[in-house]
Amino acid sequence: MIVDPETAGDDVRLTADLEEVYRAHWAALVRLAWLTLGSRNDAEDVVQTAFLRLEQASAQIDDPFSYLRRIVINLALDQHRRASVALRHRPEPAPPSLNPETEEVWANVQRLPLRQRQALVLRFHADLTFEQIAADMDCPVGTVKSLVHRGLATLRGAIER
Amino acid sequence: MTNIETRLTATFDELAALIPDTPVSSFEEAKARYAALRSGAVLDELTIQTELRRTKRPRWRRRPRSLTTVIVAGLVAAGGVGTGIAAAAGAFGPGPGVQHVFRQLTKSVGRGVPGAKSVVPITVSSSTSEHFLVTEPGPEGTTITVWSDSPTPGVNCFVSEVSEAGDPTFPGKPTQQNGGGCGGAPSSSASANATMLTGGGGSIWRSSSGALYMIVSSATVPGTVRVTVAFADGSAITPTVGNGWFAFGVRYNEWAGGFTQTEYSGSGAALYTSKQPPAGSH
Repeated sequence: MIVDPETAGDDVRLTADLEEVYRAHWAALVRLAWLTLGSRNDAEDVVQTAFLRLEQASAQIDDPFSYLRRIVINLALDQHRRASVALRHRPEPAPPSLNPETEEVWANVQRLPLRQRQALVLRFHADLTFEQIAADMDCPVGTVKSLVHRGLATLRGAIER
Repeated sequence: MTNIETRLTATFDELAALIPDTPVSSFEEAKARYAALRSGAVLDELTIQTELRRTKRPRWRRRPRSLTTVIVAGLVAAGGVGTGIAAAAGAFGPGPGVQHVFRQLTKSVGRGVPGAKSVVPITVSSSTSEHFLVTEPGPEGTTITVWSDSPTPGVNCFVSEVSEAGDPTFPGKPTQQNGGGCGGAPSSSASANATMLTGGGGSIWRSSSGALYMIVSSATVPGTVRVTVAFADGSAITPTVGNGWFAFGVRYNEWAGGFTQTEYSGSGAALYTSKQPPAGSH
């Protein structure tokens, strides 16, 4: 619980809890954002913004990780839209050395539309159910199934031809 | 699971493993860095590293500075932003922490730093090219020391260090750098025009007591003999000016409240004034 009604005015308690949440969930959220956006820099920015929003949240939040995950998913969409119209000057860390199979899959994943990529990452990395993904992406379950199906079909066509 | 699903999961797993399990800094530190970055209020628009501060490494494990000092450089000579950054990043292969700092700098550099064009992380590999610039008492009994360095021909940098009591300091060669920045010129073709060391930088530094400070190092305009820095709470400091440079360390909150920096000539004329609004106000 991030904001406890009994200690809502206690900054120390609030900060300590937030630090705990930060340490516990930072990596998972950066991984999620990175796999979605394909940019480590953007992923860290998005996650930092998500934590700032959590800090500023006035409502009681019982499940901070789910809350953060939804913010990250939404911010990733915004970031993707901005990135498509903005010149990018920031240097990315050197691409990691991956085995050829991973590189092939990763390259094709990055070519998918963002919503398909998000659905695949949430399904096959975060291991969420279709229902959970639908809640996070704020869309019907059928839409999620369709996004996953189309994403897999595209990858299958590109990789297993 | 189908074959493609298995491969997809394996790909995500392999990539995810490249992200460290824990963040490089606390949330409060990260927040302070981002606030500083957004504010653009550092004297020279360079906001750098907490990741490299000494407190991360136990004293007995500190490596010689020549091996470990990865600092961030502001380029003052000609050279494209993109090419300078890309070349440097490739050449030195900084880790995620350095890359993070590096990325922050690329957002802020180039605004307000005379001649600044780009930033690169560099490794200071030689002590023979270092020259003392200025020293100033720092927070909590520390000493801030600034010196210049030319690790390679044509690359002019400044390096600042926060030393605790008992640590060897320049010219005895500090054993470890706490943080710093440098301004210089890129190597290779763009370096020929770099003859002056300009700019400066600020780094967020956490003391052993846990307090956050902003350590600022800056070049002065020519002819400056005295500098005053007045903060929003009414306090003011007059850091020592030496070799055209000065440095100071203040509580992060005090720095973030905004300040006015004035540089005076020997006759008392104000040569340069810079008013920095509170961090995050623009």
